[in-house]
Amino acid sequence: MRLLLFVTVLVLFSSGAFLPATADVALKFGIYTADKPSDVVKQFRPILDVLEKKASEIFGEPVRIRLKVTKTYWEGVDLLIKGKVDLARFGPASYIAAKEKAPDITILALESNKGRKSFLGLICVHADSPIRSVRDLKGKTFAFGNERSTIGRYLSQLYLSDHGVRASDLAGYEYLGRHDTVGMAVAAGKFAAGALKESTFKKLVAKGHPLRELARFPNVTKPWIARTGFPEKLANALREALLAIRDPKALKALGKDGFVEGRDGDYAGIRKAIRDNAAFHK
Amino acid sequence: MPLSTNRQGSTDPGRRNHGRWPLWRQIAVVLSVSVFAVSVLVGGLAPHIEKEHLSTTFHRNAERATALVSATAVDAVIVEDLPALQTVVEQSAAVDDDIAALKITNADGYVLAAWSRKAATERTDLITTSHEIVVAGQAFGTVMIEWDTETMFRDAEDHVRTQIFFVVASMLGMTAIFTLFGHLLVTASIGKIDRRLRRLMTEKKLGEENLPRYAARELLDLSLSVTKLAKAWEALEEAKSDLERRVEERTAELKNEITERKRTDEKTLHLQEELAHVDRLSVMGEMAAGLAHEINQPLAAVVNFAQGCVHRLRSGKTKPGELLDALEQISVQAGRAGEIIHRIRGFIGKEEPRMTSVDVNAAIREATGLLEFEAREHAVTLNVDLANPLPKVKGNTIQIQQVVLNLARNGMEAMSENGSTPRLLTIRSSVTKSGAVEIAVHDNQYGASTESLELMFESFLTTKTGGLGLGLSICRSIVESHGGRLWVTTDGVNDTAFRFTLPVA
Repeated sequence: MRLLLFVTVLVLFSSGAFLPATADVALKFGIYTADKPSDVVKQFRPILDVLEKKASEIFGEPVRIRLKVTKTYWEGVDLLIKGKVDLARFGPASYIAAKEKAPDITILALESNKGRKSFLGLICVHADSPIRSVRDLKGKTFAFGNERSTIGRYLSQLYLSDHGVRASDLAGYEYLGRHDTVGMAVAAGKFAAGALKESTFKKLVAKGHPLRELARFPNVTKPWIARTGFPEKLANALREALLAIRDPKALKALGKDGFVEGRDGDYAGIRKAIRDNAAFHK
Repeated sequence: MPLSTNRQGSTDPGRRNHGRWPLWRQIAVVLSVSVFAVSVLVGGLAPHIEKEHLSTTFHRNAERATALVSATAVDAVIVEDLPALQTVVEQSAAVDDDIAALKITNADGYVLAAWSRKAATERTDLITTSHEIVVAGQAFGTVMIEWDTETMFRDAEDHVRTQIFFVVASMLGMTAIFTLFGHLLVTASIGKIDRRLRRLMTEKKLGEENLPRYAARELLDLSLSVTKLAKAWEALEEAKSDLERRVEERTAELKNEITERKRTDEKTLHLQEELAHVDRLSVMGEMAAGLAHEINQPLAAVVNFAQGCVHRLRSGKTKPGELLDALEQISVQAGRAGEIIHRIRGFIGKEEPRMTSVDVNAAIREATGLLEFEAREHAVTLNVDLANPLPKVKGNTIQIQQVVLNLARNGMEAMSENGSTPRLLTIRSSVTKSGAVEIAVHDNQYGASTESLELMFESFLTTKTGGLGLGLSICRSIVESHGGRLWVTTDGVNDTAFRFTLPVA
């Protein structure tokens, strides 16, 4: 009986030891988007292809990453929390929400904005608007982005309350979902002002939308995250691979210039903005 | 049996042709059989080909449709938006009646949305197309469509059958029309032309059958050519009979002319004969004195011998045996005189000119006998040089002698007149290279020219004091009537020769 057990163990061991590891390391990368899903695939697939290659080299085993797109913040966050995706790329607000529910998720890297891990959020008005300062927004309508968006909600609302404008001071406000929707609504005169990221603002202005910057505030770039219980060795390999990515084509498709190291502490400010958000609504 | 069949077949081509069908019927049969064969072939293959063609086309279209569904579904598939996908599936299926089932799965093979028209067991003829949804190299799912092609192919086969039916029917119709027109335009016309030609050959007359007005242009041309040919033939026949008639007329004319000519020739011959006779009389007249002397000599000798015999008999001393020699001499001399007279009579006698085989040498010798006195008179040495053997000629002895006599006398007279010495007259016979007999009379008169000698042949021209001047021209006409030739040669010094040839008998 002992002999039989020994032989079985030996066979199982040797099959594992001597047969080459043919099965790939199959990972799922989750992402949520309000944009056209196929465009998002085209945006992320090239960088994932490069990542697969580099990670495979570093890890020493073939790494395959499949892209999983969801339509909503909560779906995306849910998948990561439940471990249905191994990796994810969220906006800061979603990361903070997920981190609260699953504290063991880890940051692999932050997207780089010209070598920095910050970028700007803007409050904009119509180009012909008489509004000259944030305080002028009292009694005016305001367009926010997504309810869970960092710029679209938390940072902009924090900025407004810091400058003495609260929800109750506004004539009205709405969450329009996307940054470009906000910009176009303001340009069309539907709202007196709106919050959106700088890059979208510039694109809209370039297209001829009559917008003017009223105020700016910094934001932290998006984190690439690994799920709870993700193998550390693999996480390190992926982190190393991300930081090493220089492929211009893939980076151009992604719309970033690379990755930089990041920690959970980078989002302390935003976490505070979320926590204090209630102050805006008092 | 085979022999008789063969003979029948080979000797009666017309009958052999009876077994054959007319051209139009042959064409009709060939065309009908071809159309039938093609119809069977096309009828058998066409549905299959059509089905293949339809299948290929259908596949292409089906794949295109599947790709279209995939394109519609791509974003919903990426985010696995099930309600949206269900809408896509149902809307797509509603567009096309041929879709039996439609299914969209994700990359792991889980069905995201599905739709089906019938229970799977009822489907008989299904084609499945699928399209993988791939974005930026990552597969997100697959669209699969099952197509029900049964109805489509059945309709297609019916359609093809109908088409084939109409094609075959129209081809047969065209065959019939072609055959009918072919018969009207070609074979009927050829038949008529053939009948006309046959009639032309048997009756030498062209039938009046006109071709139909709508016959093929080439055949109308052919018919025209046949008419022209017939007319040419008729003209030829007419010309032939005309020619025959004219030949007959001309032949009759020629016969008359020949009769006339014969008569004229006979008359000419007679006249010539008469003339030759006159000439002979003339010659004899001229020779009369000499000849009288010739006769006189033996007659004188006869007289002498006779007187001597009379003397002897009167003296009574003689014996009859002694008179025998004298009497024999009398007989010889009288014979000699008789001989001369006989010759003269023969020479001047008016006998019918008979053409016989003549010994020229003998004729010359006899003629020479009449010349001896004249030769002595003119102090001419007469020389006869005769070839031996000499073939006989066809002619009249007296006339040949007349020529020799004339020529010899001319020569002697000429030598005598221009005082030639010595005077030698040579009569020579020989055979020419061409085989004819030539008689030449040479003299040695001085300085005769060819021109003056030729002039002597003219009638009534003479240098002599006596005579009619007809001698040489008569000689020439005699020789020519014998088929020979008379001419003169001279060396310009002292040898003149009159020569004539006579054809060998």
